[in-house]
Amino acid sequence: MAAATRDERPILVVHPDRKTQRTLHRILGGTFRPVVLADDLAAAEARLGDGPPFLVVIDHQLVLAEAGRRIFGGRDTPCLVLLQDAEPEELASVLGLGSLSYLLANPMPLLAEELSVTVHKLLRRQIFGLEKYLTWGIEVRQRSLDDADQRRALVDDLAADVHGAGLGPRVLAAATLIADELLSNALFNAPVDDSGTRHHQDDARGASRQLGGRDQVTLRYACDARYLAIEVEDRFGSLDRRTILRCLSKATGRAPDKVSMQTRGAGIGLATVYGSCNHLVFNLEPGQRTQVIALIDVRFRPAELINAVCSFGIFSTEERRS
Amino acid sequence: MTSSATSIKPRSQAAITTSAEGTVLVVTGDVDDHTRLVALADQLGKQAIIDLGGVGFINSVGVREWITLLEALDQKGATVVLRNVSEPMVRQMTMVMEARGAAAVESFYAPYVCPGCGDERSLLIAVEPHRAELAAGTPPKQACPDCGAAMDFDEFPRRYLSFLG
Repeated sequence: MAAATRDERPILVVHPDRKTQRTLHRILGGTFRPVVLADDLAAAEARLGDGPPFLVVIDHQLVLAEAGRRIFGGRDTPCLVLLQDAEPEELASVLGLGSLSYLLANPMPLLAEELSVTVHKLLRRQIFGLEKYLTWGIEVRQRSLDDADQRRALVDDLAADVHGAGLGPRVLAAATLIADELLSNALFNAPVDDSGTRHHQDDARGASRQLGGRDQVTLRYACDARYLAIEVEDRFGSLDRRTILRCLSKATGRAPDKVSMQTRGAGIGLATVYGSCNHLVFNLEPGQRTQVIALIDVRFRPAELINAVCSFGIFSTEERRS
Repeated sequence: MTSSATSIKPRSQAAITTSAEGTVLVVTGDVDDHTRLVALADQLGKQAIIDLGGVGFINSVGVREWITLLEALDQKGATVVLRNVSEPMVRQMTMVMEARGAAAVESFYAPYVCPGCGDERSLLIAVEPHRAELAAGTPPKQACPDCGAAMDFDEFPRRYLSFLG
């Protein structure tokens, strides 16, 4: 039997701080893949001359620089941006990067967990499932909606479980809001007909609608005393990265006209979810399914995490890895 | 596929009373897809006080309904004062500017946690006595109702208090 060809492309780390470089090297070293360190953009560009890396991990200030945009803007290589010690206002600039798919904003030790799972998802090309973010063996609660009017009942079930787990009012409030918004999105915004029209977008939200076939929506959640993970999946796969980034940008600070009566506030639901969790993950299989996972860290209080910006990742089964 | 009219009862309640300070609207429960607030604008006077202390949940659809009420009050020239603004309402106002609109905030709830006993509380803050420190992004000190220790503010102060700006 022939041995499988191992992809030996390196991971390129571009960061000016040596201590951070070493921390990242230790985290990424677990992939047993070469990790190449670059202090600045000139060094990174020189390294790129040796061939495309598997992944670029880069400081947000470097990727926002003119040279950073030029070097990394049009590449197929996945680019993971680190947003440590940043003001919330800086998030808007980062979200404006068209090529952005992965943003890690939390400090250690969350950074190690987030970076490790992100890289291994990319390496193994297995992106779906909240289990990847939780401790092995944890119990996952799963409910499928048979009717659109079951949304409130499911959110109530989740609230009862979160309350029963003793997670406190802050986590409870965030969890119920996240579940409600993600289920709404899956029930009313995700469905598209053959012409691409979102034909349930204007449905009365309390109306009964039987959910068969592609209309089925699944809610899953679990907690391992590190994260409360809430996952909602639809079977349309109609959400794309451009829409996600546009929606998340609404959560980057108070601004007029975020919710206008003209647009009926489209997108504010996802922005609300992003503003209510520590890490938001989109797993996209275009035309087939969209899975959104919101992670709430139940170990640390918001102020202990220093950074008010939340991490996110947009994974797609159609990501090119040439 | 079948559809039918909604059979889900609203989980929010609204009550209006009139006093010397004006008409007072008290909203309680979940402000969501089933909440209808805008018709209440006609019943509120030019001096409207809205007590939001009992709002335990508000989603993005509820925010739109809430904004429609504020806009209707603005169009009739009413002065709106928000009283006992609950944490879910504050969190929406920190993200959506129109969710506070031109209304003045008299008092609001904020999250505190006790480093001594771990108790989590939502504590009421009156704006006027603390206006200077709130403007500086400093939440007022609070003692734990359970053990008496000084409590920590359980949010990013700058983010949470931004709705007052």
